[in-house]
Amino acid sequence: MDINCRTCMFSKIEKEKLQKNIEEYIDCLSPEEKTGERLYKERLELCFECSSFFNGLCRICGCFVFTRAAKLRSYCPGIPKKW
Amino acid sequence: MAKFIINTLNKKSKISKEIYGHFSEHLGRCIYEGLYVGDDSPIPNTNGMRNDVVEALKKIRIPVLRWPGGCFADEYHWMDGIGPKEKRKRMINTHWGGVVEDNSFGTNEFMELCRQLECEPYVNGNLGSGSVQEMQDWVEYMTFDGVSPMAELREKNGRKEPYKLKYFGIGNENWGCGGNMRAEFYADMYRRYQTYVRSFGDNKIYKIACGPNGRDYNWTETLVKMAGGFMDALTLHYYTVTGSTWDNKGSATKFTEDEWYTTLFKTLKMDELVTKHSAIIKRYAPDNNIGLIVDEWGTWHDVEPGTNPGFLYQQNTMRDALVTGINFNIFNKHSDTVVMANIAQTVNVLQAVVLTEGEKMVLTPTYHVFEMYKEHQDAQLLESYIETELIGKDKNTVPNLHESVSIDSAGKIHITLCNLSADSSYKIETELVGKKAENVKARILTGKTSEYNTFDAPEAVKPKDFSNVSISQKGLTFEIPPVSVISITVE
Repeated sequence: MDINCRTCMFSKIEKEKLQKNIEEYIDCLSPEEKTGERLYKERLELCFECSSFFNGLCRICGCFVFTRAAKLRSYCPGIPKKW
Repeated sequence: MAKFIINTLNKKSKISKEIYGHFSEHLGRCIYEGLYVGDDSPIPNTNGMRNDVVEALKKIRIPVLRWPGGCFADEYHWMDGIGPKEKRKRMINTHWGGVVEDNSFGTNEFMELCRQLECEPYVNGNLGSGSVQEMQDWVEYMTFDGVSPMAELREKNGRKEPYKLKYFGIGNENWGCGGNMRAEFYADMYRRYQTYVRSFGDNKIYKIACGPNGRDYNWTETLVKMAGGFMDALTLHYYTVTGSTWDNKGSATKFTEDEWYTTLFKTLKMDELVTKHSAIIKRYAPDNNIGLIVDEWGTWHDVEPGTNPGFLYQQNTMRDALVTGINFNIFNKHSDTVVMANIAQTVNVLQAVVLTEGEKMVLTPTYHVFEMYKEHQDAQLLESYIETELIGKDKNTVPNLHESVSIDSAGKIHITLCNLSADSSYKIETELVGKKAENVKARILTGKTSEYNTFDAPEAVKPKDFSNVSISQKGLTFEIPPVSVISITVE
């Protein structure tokens, strides 16, 4: 815990580990919290076409779109809302 | 009944308003989305700055804003961020989820933001990867009043008049991301770079050297010994991290009672750090002519689940509110040497005062403590003492109560008091020496330890009037509930 800086921390984050975390997070959502398969796909398609989407991320809210779209009560943070 | 003695006859140091300062970095969604949305955004803005965020920050009387970093400062080349926006350098960091830096927020935009906020700009220069000339030119670009290549460039970019710039940092975390330097090497580099950071006309630059990380007392001693005569202040960075490793810092919103006390125990370390670094500074600068600036402080939790880990976006609970109150009390009590502090960071990053999502904005519990403590700004510290007992578990015990008191130029006394207990209230008997209380107003911020505001419930945690303070013969009596921050004004 001695010398720390954000730049060094970022370089230590592994992409595979991150992907696993996202999958685990979605798996942990209860059936009531989770978006249905069809709606989930519809939301993601809209995200993928959006100019604020890059590398799996929504630039407006900082969320990975896979996790944001997976929550039923969630919404698109853009103006206008795409979903 | 805890005795709380306030000696109004012993006025101590002035509490510099800059202690209530802020820090905004090109990181995550602090600048872009958080403060700056561009003038073509559907989000209401003035010259690209979010109106809602500017208004919120003005309400807490933001005194100073540090920019552009942080680690970013020592990789920032200011020339990339001036001139026509469409011609500015664009970089996409594909490393961590596509952070786009289009440089649309540069020097002129930062100065415009400070103008709207009515606060002092604090610009952090690049010593780690920038040249001496680059730093020299930047100061000239911002402040030179007359004919010079940089003043002409500024005029070409639409600004004839020089900006007023007081605070200028010469490097950031040069023991780490700013070049991994040894203290001796940085001290020499500092002496060299600062030579060319010049005060032009009536603009007097206040030179800030990069100080230590946490307990690195050797850095402070070496720097002050070798370069103390060339600086106005040096910095200190200390974050409150609950977990024992950087991979497991702990959730911002889900924590146990043990973790509550661990967080408060760790944040109280700030007192020891400020005391010891101040003692070293005073040994070499007995006339108090070198200040200490805590320009990165606050909690550092795990990011919110499902968000980019590189964006450092975290929620903010009553635990963070207590951290804020405790640190402000510490800074107030050390205001003879602590001349500025900057919470990390203003919007959407780490212990933010404001969170945004698209057009929505929410004020965090931390924001409310800034608002409740704002009367301390430029007031004079008063001698005060409160009886405490140790609470918590094992080695993470903390005092149950934590306070500071000031008197403003109108003679009003401002008391701020935190109850660190997760479950106990305490009766307080306050004795005001040298003052008869005639009128009292109080407010309280309280809730469950892990309570916080969301975009759907933005007012779950907010200050309320606290009418339980009675005027007694000696002063005041009241009972402070658990998990609370109280501000009291006495006339």
